[in-house]
Amino acid sequence: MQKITNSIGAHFPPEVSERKIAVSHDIRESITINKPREEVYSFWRDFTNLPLFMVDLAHVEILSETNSIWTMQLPLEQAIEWEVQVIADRKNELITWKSVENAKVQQRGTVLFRTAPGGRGTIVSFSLHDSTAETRMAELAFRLIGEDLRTLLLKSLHRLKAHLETGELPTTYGQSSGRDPKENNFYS
Amino acid sequence: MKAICWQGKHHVSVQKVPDPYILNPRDAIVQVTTSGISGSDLHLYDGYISHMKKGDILGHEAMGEVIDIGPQVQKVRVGDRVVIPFNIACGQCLYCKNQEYAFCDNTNPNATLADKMFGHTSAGLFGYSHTHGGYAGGQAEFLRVPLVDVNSIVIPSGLADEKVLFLSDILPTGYMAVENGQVRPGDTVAIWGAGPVGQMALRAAYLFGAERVIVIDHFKNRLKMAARGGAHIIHYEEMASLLDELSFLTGGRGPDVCIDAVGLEAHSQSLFASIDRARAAVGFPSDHLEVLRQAIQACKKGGIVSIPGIYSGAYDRVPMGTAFSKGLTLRMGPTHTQKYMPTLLKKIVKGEIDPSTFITHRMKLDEGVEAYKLFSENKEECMKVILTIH
Repeated sequence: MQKITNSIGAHFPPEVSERKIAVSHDIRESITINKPREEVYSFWRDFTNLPLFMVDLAHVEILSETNSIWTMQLPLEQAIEWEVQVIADRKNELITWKSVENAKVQQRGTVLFRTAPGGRGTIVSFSLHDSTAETRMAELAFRLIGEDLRTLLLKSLHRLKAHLETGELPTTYGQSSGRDPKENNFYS
Repeated sequence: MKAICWQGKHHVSVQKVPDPYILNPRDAIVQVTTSGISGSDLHLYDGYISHMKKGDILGHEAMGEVIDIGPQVQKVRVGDRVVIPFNIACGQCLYCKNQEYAFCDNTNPNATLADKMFGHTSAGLFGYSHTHGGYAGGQAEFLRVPLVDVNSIVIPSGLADEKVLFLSDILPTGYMAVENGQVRPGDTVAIWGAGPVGQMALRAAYLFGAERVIVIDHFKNRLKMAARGGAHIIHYEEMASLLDELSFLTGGRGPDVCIDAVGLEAHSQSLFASIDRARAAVGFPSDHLEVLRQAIQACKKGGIVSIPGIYSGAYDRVPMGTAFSKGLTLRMGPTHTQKYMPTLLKKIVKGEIDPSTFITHRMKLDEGVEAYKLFSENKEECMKVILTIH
């Protein structure tokens, strides 16, 4: 195996240099929510709440203390389901989950909960480790909202924050505009 | 309903659009009685602001009567007469709790787009580009107001629409500009721009105890209105050097507070401005930063340059060296409208301010196309246009 050196002469270990570009990436986004840590943790730990804010999820069915089935609904296509298992759970601190073996979508996610400095709310850091060869999750994300996985994560966090702080999600879906094909009479 | 819709650069239409309805449980529907056209609407009209779509309903200075409320609205009632602030805030995030309503985290459905453009999202705005949420605006017969308990102020009876409409935007903007400048009794304040924001800032500066306020512009009628408000006026095209004149007026010190109430559509005679025009002529986006440069150049050592704006995009050739050597403070940003509405309403009720003096044209919603054209092309005659709707 060849040693790869960068411009200042540092050597990268072969595992890093051999890594194929699109095999795995960790993506992490954070947001600060003006609610106590226990409240945010409890809300997330009840996985039936996840579809309220996770952009990719339509439904979660709880099977047991650790396992659940997650369903994603792509527009005009069949729903995609995969089974997820919680593999680490530290109350008010961290939850890690992973798709079970042979699940259609291979994914590992971790969410960390920390109190913001100065007691200014809770910092939620959400990371996703997507390790199938075709980065299936990223592809699904793109098909769903036309944006990359990082944006999907951040959007989910924005929605979590809006839901916990205001009780609703900001929306303009259904609002009026001059684009409605039925009512396009121009007065001037 | 009828509404004014954006159709492109220098192109708006008045057209029939669907009526709005309640989308979220804390929404209200307001029957709009009067709506204003803002200088910042002209930035949309002139094509300076990105992420507009044809058919977007314009307008962010609206008032009227509440005709419908969602199931979780608690304070506002059907029948209330309200003025709606131009920004949409949630009242619950840390910024809102700090009264920094313009920075609200939770009201932009396109938050990730704004995150990419600005680093962090800000509050949703009515009628102002999809970066700020793409909310339908108030130059229409009806307006859907999200989170209405936070985003409205109830007007007592006995006050005409004209007297209170500007609580929606320009009154708080001019007032906050002066507050940002930390104007103290005895100060000399220089205000670039004699448009509605500059006019309001002028009057607010005197309320804060300024001894002398200088207003700079090149529209004679606007300067006359500023003079009526007690300003020392400067028509910058009638003198060799504006900076020399300011130095003369302030005994070489420079104004204590400089307010840039012009923002991104500044034009002037200087060398830099000529470069701007040359660049624009060959298709380069031009800076329009001339007013900010002058403010930095003129301001006293240790002074404050207060920028109600608006600025958009990234600029080069800002005199940072000058700003640094003089230890200037630059304070800027969108107005935290909801913070100032109650205070300013009290002042209007007491008769301390009468913003209706700024109105030069009263037109109808149907005349929307002419109204925009007039406001854009004839700033000499036209200071502020309001549209009476119901």
